Amino acid sequence: MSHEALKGHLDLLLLSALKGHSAHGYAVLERLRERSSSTFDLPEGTIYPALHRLEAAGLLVSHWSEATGRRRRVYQLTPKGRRALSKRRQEWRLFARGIEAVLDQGAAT
Amino acid sequence: MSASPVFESYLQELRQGLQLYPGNKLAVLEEVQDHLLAAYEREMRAGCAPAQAEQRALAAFGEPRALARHFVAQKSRARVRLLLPLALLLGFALAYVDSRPSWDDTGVSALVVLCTTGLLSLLEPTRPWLWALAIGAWFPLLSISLNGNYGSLMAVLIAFLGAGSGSLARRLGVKPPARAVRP
Repeated sequence: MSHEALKGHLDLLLLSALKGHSAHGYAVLERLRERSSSTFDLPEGTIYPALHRLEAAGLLVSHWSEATGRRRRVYQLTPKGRRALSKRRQEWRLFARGIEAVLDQGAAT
Repeated sequence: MSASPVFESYLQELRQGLQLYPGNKLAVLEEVQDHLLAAYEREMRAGCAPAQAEQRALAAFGEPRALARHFVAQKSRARVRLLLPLALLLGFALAYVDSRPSWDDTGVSALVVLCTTGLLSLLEPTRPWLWALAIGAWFPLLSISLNGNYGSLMAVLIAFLGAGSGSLARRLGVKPPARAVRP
């Protein structure tokens, strides 16, 4: 899936990838890749401005760790982020159901 | 683990494009470097030669100038959201004082407009025109409507001069007033 098609959905994907697990940017990307079976093809650097934006909005919080001998910025969901994820996930399911319904009717005619 | 010359060159290009506060810039660069090293290790595990692994890691990460623009635009929007209401309020207050018949110190008004627009542009240099209008436009609006004073249009010119100077100074490397940075 192209980067353009992902616009508008990246925040939801990032929040979802961080649900229940804190992670640094690279690990978030790996999670997205694994869960989507490499469907999402976006420049890897794209996730950092998005992560920073989500942090500025209070949906994520970050800290620096040195567990692997390198300093890494680790992100985790805030309570506000968990609520936002839940809300956006519901919105997405409604949206996807609507699209599916339209496509199915289009295919049937 | 330090970055290779190829990664250093990429980070240097990114550094040049990032018009962020020094602490934020350093944090972004450190984060990007960590990602590049992790991607390099991934490519090496996949069987690439070192030089090829570096190139593939960079290609996957994306073009540094585009990434820098993305970061700058995002930070810029956040700063504008914070500063614009303040600038509008300040502009109105200054113009109101200047429009009072009892106020006759035009030089002080001009200096304050010059300094405030300069400072705002130093803090957020990508939209000097916005600061010039947010501060300067109030002067003719109030003075012309209340006193018919068309000379107050000069305030807009002074505001543009201040904002342009602040923006230019920031681009030339003058740092804005100190603020807390992380990490």
